[in-house]
Amino acid sequence: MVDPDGQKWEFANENLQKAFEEAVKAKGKKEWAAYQAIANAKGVIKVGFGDLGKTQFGDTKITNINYSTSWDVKNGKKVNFKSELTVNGTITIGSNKEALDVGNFTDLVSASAHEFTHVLTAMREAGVPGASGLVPNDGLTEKEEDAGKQSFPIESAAFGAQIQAEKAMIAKGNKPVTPDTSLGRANAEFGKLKTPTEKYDYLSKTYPNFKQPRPGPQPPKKK
Amino acid sequence: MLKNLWRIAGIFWLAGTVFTQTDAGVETKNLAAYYNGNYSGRKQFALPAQIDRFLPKVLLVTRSGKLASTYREDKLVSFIKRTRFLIASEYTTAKLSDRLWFPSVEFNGKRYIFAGEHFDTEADAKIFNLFLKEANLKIENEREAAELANLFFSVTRGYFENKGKLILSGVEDVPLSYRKAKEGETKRLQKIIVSPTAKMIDGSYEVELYTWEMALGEVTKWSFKIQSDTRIEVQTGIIGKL
Repeated sequence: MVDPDGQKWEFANENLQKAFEEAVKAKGKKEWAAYQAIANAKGVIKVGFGDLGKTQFGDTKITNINYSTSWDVKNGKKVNFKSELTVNGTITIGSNKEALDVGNFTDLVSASAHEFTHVLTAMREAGVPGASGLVPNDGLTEKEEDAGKQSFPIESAAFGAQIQAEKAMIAKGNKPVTPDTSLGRANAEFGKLKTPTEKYDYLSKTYPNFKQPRPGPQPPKKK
Repeated sequence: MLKNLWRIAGIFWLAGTVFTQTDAGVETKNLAAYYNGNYSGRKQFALPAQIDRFLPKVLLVTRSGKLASTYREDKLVSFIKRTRFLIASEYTTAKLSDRLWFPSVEFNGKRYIFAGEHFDTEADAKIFNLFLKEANLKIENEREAAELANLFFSVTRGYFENKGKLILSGVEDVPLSYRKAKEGETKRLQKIIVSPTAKMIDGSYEVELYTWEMALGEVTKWSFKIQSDTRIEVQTGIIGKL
């Protein structure tokens, strides 16, 4: 992607870029448009590798996102609308071999799909046009985020995206995500779940502080 | 904006006061210098510098001075209720996909953050022993010894967060979907895994228990040796995967 102003996505290597772009394409055309909007925005999102421990396969930090629109007024009418998007942040794909195998292209695509969901969440919150249709509302206030509350709709969407991305890769003839990694186990288990309640119960073991209550009937209290 | 300025000011203030000691040292006597909680005004706390080297993200914690609620307080074991259990959170103004939490205990004006040297590992026994010494706890029976082992889990990242991690009373505690995928391993572990045990041997209490975690399926044996002065030694070993 040519970007002479240096306003772009930056990847640790070409393979990771290819995987990330596969992940975005697997999500859909609108998501690809959002990806390109960031490529044309001010600021940089750096995507690389880092050891996040044995169990975490990805991490996203959007340090700055701003969307603004300006216009001129001629004869009492607003004209010449201009919009500007600024995004800065980092995405880390886990390099610990127990979390995922960075040598398996499908692992990279699947983990990237998860993390891109968090980028879309930030875009939605910034009010970027069209972003609201790409990802659920996380439902969190700033105060709740500060208090460490987590969003079930977002994590559910992110896990759904990583599984969808794996399926898309398999359909193209690639191998599945690496079994017996935390990514492989997560995809295998989450992929079996049908109801929001099942998904909530599974995800709340990884994200124990959801703002949203458990959907459906409450489990019996332990005596 | 005002809130952020306040935070930024805090970062520089802390950077100037807390991080003047750059040499970590892992000796118990040296570690104590790093726990310099001051709760009269803005909250602040520090971590042992050796943790900084292994956990870059923890640096953010030390610079945040940010505390969360005490929602784990009810997990405290009975004989140690006079401590206040707090949670240290990673601080950043960024939009995060995953926030790090670090269990800590506030006691006698000091904060003990029990983060280990690596992500997802047990609490640092040296820090835990520092806290036990300050709290002057006396273990008087097997039940209390088992409670102390539970406390160690309470201050262990991962178990503290309860990320699908279980203390097992038998292999049947592991969810069926995971056992079904590995029947041979399940049968093997069925003969090994038992409920937690605590007994006194030669003047020390020994607690043994088994755990399972969801992300990688590791089944781990934990052995706690609790000396008469309540100093604790912890040994762990992965004995299988489910």
